[in-house]
Amino acid sequence: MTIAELPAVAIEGVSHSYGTRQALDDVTFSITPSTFAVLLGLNGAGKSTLFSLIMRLYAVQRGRIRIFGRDVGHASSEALRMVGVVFQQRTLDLDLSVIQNLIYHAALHGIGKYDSCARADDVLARIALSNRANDKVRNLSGGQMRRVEIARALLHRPRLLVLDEPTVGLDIKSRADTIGYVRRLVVEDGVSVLWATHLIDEVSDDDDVIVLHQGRVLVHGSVSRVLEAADARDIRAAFTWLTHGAEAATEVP
Amino acid sequence: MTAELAAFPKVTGFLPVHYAICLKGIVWREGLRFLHQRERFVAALVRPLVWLFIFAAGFRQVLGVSIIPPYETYILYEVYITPGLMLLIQLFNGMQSSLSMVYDREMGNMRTLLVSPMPRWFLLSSKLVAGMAESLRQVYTFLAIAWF
Repeated sequence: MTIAELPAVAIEGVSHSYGTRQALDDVTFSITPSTFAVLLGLNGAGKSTLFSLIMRLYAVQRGRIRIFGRDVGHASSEALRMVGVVFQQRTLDLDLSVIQNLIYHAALHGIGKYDSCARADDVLARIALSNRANDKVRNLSGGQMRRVEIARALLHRPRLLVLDEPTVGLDIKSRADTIGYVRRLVVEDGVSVLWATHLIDEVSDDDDVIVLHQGRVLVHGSVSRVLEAADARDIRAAFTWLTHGAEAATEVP
Repeated sequence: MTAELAAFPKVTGFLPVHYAICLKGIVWREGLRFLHQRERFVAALVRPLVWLFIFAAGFRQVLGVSIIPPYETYILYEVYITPGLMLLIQLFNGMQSSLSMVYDREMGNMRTLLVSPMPRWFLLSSKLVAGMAESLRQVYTFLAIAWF
């Protein structure tokens, strides 16, 4: 099996709990390469926990996570080299400049300064922030910081990009720019994307959708499959029906 | 697109040069942060300098080490306490470095470090080396000021 045939990310029976509270319960799904997958879930659904497990921030308690065939638990270095991440919380160093943040990230991946400067120039040009390269991050707007974070996630040329609610706190234009840029990465560069959100309008008809609710995958498939599962006419109605229906089901004694 | 993906280079392990680059990057970043936090730099130096210039200068006539082996001459109090002050700088810098890690964790910067594909033991060791490098920088700055 070549790397192109392996799933970009394969989550197999993953469960995770914080003490007695179950955050994820037997989560299983996989994403094919070069697709834009949306992890759709309400606040507290377990999206951030799942991302933390994918990025090895937490140890996998039960189940298995593989990135292009590499197990995050046993071959974490190989797996993490193929992933770029944008967390919900901003993780840029505000006291450093844009270019310094990028060079620091590159160094953490073993990329030398000469190479990282060239790559930084390239990614900054792609996100139209070349003119702010030497500005301190704290002087950027929220949308610009997000773009820098995406640029940073792409600096080591990952095959999989995972983004945890990257448009939270952004205005309409910045949201559209951000999601448009990431979608272009899928089409032009063949990057696989796992995009976590609770905002329905970020879902496109071509996307692979995973509906996560209270730590469980309710449905996974194309938009049409989600609509069919919920017997709804649009994704908003389907998501509402699925999540409210699931809540009603858990309330039944 | 499939061919494009297949053309990706094979993922191999890290070479020693990659570790060296990572270590250098962490030390460089800690150095930059330290330079940007000037008040921290000044605060770290003020304490031992106050001790050296006020207390030691004041007590130099009454305190000192007599001419006893292994010393062949009278040791002034400010000379006697300088190694202790160097250790004082390193002690407080160690505390500052620990607080800096807590700050990094609170601000989310620690995640950048933790999602690095480098082994965790190496990342932690690099942070410690970076802290040591900062404390040595302060010690040499202190010695330079004390010399004059």
